[in-house]
Amino acid sequence: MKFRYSRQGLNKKEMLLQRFFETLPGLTSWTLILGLVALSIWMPLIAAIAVIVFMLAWVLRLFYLTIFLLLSYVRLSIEKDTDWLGRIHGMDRFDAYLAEIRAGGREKDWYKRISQWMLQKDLERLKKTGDIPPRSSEIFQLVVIPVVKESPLVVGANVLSVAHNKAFSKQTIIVLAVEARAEQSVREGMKRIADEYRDRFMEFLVVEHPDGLPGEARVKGANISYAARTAAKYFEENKIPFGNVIVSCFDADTVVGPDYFACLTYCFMNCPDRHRASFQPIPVFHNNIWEVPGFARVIETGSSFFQLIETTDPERLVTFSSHSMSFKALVDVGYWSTDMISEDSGIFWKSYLHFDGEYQVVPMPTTLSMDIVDAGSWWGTVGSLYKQKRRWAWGVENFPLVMRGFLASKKISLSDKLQHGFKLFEGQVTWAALPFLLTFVGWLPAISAGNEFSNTVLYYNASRFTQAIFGLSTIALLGTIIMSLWLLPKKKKRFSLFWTLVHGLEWFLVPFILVFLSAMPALDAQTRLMLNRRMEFWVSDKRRT
Amino acid sequence: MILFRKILFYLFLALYLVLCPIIILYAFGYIFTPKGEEGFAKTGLIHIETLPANASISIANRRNVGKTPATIRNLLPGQYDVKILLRGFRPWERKVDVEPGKAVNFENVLLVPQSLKTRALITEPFEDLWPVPGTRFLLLKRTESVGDLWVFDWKDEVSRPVFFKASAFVDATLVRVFMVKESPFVILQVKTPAGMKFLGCQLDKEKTEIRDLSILFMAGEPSEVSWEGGHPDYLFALQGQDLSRMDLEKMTVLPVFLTKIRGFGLYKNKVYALRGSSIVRLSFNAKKGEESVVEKGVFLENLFRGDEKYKIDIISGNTICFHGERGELFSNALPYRFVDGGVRGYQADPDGRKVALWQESRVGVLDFEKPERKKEFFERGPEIDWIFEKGKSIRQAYFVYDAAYILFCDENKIFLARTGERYSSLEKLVAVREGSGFFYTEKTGKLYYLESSRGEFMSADILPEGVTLSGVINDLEKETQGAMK
Repeated sequence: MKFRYSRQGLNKKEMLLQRFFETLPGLTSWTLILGLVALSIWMPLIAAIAVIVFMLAWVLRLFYLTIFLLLSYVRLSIEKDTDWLGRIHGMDRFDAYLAEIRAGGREKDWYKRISQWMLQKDLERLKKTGDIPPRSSEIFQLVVIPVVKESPLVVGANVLSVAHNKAFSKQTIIVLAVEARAEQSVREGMKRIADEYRDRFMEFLVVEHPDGLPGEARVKGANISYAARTAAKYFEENKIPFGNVIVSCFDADTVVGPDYFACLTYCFMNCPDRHRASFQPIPVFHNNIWEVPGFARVIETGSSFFQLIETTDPERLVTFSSHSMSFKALVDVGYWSTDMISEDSGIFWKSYLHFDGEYQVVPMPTTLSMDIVDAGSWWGTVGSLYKQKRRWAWGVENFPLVMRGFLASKKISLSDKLQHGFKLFEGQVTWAALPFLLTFVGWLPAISAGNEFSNTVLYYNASRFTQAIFGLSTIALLGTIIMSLWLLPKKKKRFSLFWTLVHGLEWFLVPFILVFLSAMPALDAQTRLMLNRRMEFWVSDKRRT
Repeated sequence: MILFRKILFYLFLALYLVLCPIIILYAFGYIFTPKGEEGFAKTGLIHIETLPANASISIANRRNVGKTPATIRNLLPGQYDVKILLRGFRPWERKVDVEPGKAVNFENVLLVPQSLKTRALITEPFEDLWPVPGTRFLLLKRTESVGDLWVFDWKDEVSRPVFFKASAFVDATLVRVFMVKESPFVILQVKTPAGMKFLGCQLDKEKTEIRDLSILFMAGEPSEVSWEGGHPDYLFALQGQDLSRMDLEKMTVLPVFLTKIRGFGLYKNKVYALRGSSIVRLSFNAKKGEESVVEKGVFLENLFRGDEKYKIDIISGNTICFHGERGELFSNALPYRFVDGGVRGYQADPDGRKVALWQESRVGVLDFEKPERKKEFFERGPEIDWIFEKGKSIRQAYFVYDAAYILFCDENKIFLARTGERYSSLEKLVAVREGSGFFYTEKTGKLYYLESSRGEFMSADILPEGVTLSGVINDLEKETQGAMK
């Protein structure tokens, strides 16, 4: 479908529709919060019922998500020691490899047995579709790293981690997408990195993105799209088919493992419709996890958990942060949006609409690590985290575009439109409103109760129910604490039992974090969108010592 | 995984759809009793909190259904006998009507000890006791002679005679004591061989400071004297229909500061007076004739018809009480005319939200913030809850335990009654000296009284130890110091 995934150049009717959908999430969140406050004061009986309805939904959802968090963690653990390279080479001789797998002996280790079973299932599916992938030696990796103010130390670590994927380094083209407006020292630093690492890759380009090109906003998407276009020229010149290139857009602070590209290549080869797919690793924030305040550790571990849970729902999975996709698909959809802040999720929706719903995100059973925001001081980090979360929440800007796209599309099924639309909308509203409802408003009917309400059975039972819900959610929280301790990088972990306990207890900051560093920035973003006060891309503070 | 996710999703959705209405119905009090006659029934509950806690609750024939504080749920509608027992305390019993969907709330149930813990504070006999309202001082009268007038500080539990033995007034006869709220300054009207004297006494000094103010009262005996603060600059005395202003620094009198008034009250350095049926206002340091009319009109003419005198008492920033000489009690809040006569006295709670008032035979509570009944054609405002109506000679009352109870004296006995319950059962606490006053403060949780046979000055613990907070006493001290400034 030809759909311009932008709010620019709209006619009056389209703009009216765009504004309606821009207003909807913020208006709903505010209505929920203020409505329940008003109900608590004037109609506490109705408010108490609403609180029960919300809280029960929340606690069941919490348990539901905890189950998938656990499953996702198990999936990650199963593939932890998988020989991705071996699998890729096996797939290069597809039929023989499938026969070997079919005939393979039973592994003693349960994890390996499950992994083997899933591999066989994947290969069988691929064979059934008949879409045999290109040979791994014909697949090229394009890594785009946007830079505007990041230090060479941060970007260097990123490039080095890519270089450690030795099996692919000579098939890898690195593009440092540097903003022309970046300081001289930054630009020179990037050139030094290019000089240092050029020999280790197939090609290493430093592309300067001119400031103020027509139709562009000062956003990351504009920079990386410009860099990808430059890379496209390189591929054309070198006669490399776009269909054989996997493009990975990494945030500057990304650090990948030595088998990241092996896993990515496996997922790409294994995907029957690989040019209609993005590939999403699980972002963890381990680079500086022990150098930041406890609340920052908790919030980013929570973000990782969220992604872990999301990977269990590939039908509704959306790209987030560092991600990969077929370069052919990227070129077909016209690259990332050049006027949106949330280009990471935007590229999925843009592709989804472009390919009339025939586009998916494939979850990768591997992680990549990034930095937690660190402004150097406690309050500075609070401020920076707030801004970062607001930027993430600005992903709500996709909602009006997607909804307009859905209304325009005749090929996407109504069921898909409804499910995607609802998830987008509900996700945003829940993000902004639910923590307020749970933390403050849930207690309001009991607190603001007049004599009439406080003399009812409902008054006593509602507060008892609220307490029970919080008790149950503590159980879920305990599960999360245990899992967070499993996920922490072991080598840098402070060893004593005391510190383990302290890091566990940090999770009890969740109510504070949920309200001030999650719901509030989300509500801020939705309100800005509602009032048409658009945001500019703000680069998070990240330090490396 | 996708299939599993879908199955689990629908499982949780089904769980939610089943649980949600069940929980909501349960929250409203609905239960299902398969063996009972009712089957599906809407229940009520009883919530009980006691002081001290951990008392055992019996409901109907079910013994020990819980320990306080407790909420007894799932009670089918009907009348229940509720009994609360705690070793060493008197049993607390009520017949409680439980209605469907309703909660019967017994918050702040104060359990009274089987035998009150009493203590003799001064073993000498006294005739009468007067609390100085809102301060830490009580005045104790042994005989008519002012030399036998004692002051007791209930915070430090120390006492001393108001006058030194060497004082020139020690043999004078006490005629009357003028006191105002939250002021440790009192005025004694005494009779000496040289005539009537008015003595200002500063009780909050280590040795009471006595100042002869008689020169200010040359015009005659006032019916009422009032002032503001602990160290007042001005006194206001009502003689007939004229209000005089007395300057304590210059020791001068402005004889007709306000004239033709039917009563007055002081609030934040201003005099409020009822003149005819208008309310007028004048600053303490204003000149004669500078008063302004705050309110007048037909409505006030109807309210203050006749020519009775009223005492104006501003009990909070919003609430003003008018206490007439025939015992009328009016207020500026609906329904304005609360009692048409016979009110002997009243006592407001510290926030001025509730007033305990008493007539000769009954004692009641006026709650200015009690929500009005709904669906009534006319707005009525709060009504007085008369909690005891069979008294013989009620003469004083105090709120106890956050106004959940009233302590009052009828004849020579002190009783405790629960507020919010019409015709509440009474707990008889102690007998006091015939005609004497008593005092109770939440700050110590103690009742101060004169023992019935010898008149010894005693205290009795009403609230258990540990409930009263010393911090509250500090607050009071600050208040008193503030008032003194």
